[in-house]
Amino acid sequence: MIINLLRFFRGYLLIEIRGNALERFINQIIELEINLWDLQRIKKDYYLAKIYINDFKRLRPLVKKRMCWVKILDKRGLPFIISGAQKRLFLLSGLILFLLILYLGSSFLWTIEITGLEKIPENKINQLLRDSGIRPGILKREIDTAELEKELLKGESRIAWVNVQWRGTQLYIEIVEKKIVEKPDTGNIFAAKNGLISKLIVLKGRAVVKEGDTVTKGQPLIITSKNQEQAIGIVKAHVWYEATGSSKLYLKEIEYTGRSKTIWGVKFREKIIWLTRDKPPYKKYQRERQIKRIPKWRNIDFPIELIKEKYKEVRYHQEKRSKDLCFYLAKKKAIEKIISEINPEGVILDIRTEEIAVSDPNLIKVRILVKVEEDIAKLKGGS
Amino acid sequence: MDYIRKQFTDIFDLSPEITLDLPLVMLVGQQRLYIENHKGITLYNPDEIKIRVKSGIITLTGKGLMIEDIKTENLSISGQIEGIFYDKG
Repeated sequence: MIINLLRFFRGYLLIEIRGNALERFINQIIELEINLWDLQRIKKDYYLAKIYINDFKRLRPLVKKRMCWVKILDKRGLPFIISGAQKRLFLLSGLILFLLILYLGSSFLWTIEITGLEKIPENKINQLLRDSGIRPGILKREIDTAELEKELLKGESRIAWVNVQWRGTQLYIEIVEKKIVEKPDTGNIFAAKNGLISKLIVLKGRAVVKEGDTVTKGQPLIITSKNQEQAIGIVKAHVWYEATGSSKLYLKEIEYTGRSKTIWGVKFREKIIWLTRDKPPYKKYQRERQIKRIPKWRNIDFPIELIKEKYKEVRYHQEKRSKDLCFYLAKKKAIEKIISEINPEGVILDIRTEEIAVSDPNLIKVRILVKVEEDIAKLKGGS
Repeated sequence: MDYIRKQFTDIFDLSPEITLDLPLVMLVGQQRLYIENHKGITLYNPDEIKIRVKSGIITLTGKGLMIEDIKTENLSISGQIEGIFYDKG
């Protein structure tokens, strides 16, 4: 096995030997210390053998002396492969060049992608990268991603978490910013809602309003002399909530009969061809249309759509309700509207309900007014 | 002279193929044969090979015989070996 490999590397020839008394010829060959192998007698005067390239030249004078003919049938081994490739030098060098460019090209940093920035300007990160010596065109192995993460964290205090990784030749930087809880700009207390102040207890600071004052939303209530200090106090106020609700006396209800039918159609451009022949015979129905399109592929928009229509038979149903019930329902709707606005810690002092006259005799409209005592102290002004 | 050499070899327990230039034949199953110290081939056919050695001729019979390797000192033969005969040349 090993010897075959050696022969392959040295390069050998497959030769044919023709002539008479070839045994003697072979003896003469081996006396010259020429190595022959895989010697085969095909016919009486026709041998095949293998011989090293450099030995073949030494065979020449011997062949001339005797009545023998030696012919090369095949050239085998590495030296011939190399010399064969030399003829296609340009192809080979092109291939090597291509691989080289591919390898070199993939070992450089080409682009930098930064994601996750909200408040930090991208230039800031770019500046940090430049300071660490990172710019497109440098070798990839010069960048230690773990080290770069540390540097970015150190360089920009607003970064909470950073991940640096390679995406091919792209340096992908993922940043998560710190959520900074904004401190109130001043230490004052403002009104959160419009209301009439009923109770005012100042623990720290100076009150600018007094009990019984009407305040509007955003108005300062307690201020501190020194801005750094936080005003503390309880400001209870009567706050009014108002909402309206309405309800119909006659109620039209849709009732499904349970019968339904589905029909199919094909829409080509603007024309619809119905595959199901008859439309359902319902007098009153609800129609649900579903359109199925072939997904858009590249820029080609297929003009064919499949249409599925479901007809559900319905029946209308009218009901007259009592006025009391309508009143109750309208009030309930109105309360539902404002219930979310009312501070859950507030105390409801009064609920006033009144009917509003409307032109529509079918409609009953109700306004409710809720008086709540709640804490309206808020740390931040404005909205 | 040969007699003295033989005595010498026997006394010192030396390898006779080296000191006396005798052939060393090694047979692997029926498929391969190595011969060291051959003196050339006298006949080669796919079913019969005659190899000259110092003290005579070794005849090999078989089928599809092929000289796998041949050098000045040794040779190896592969194929279906069926018989080995030794003739005093």
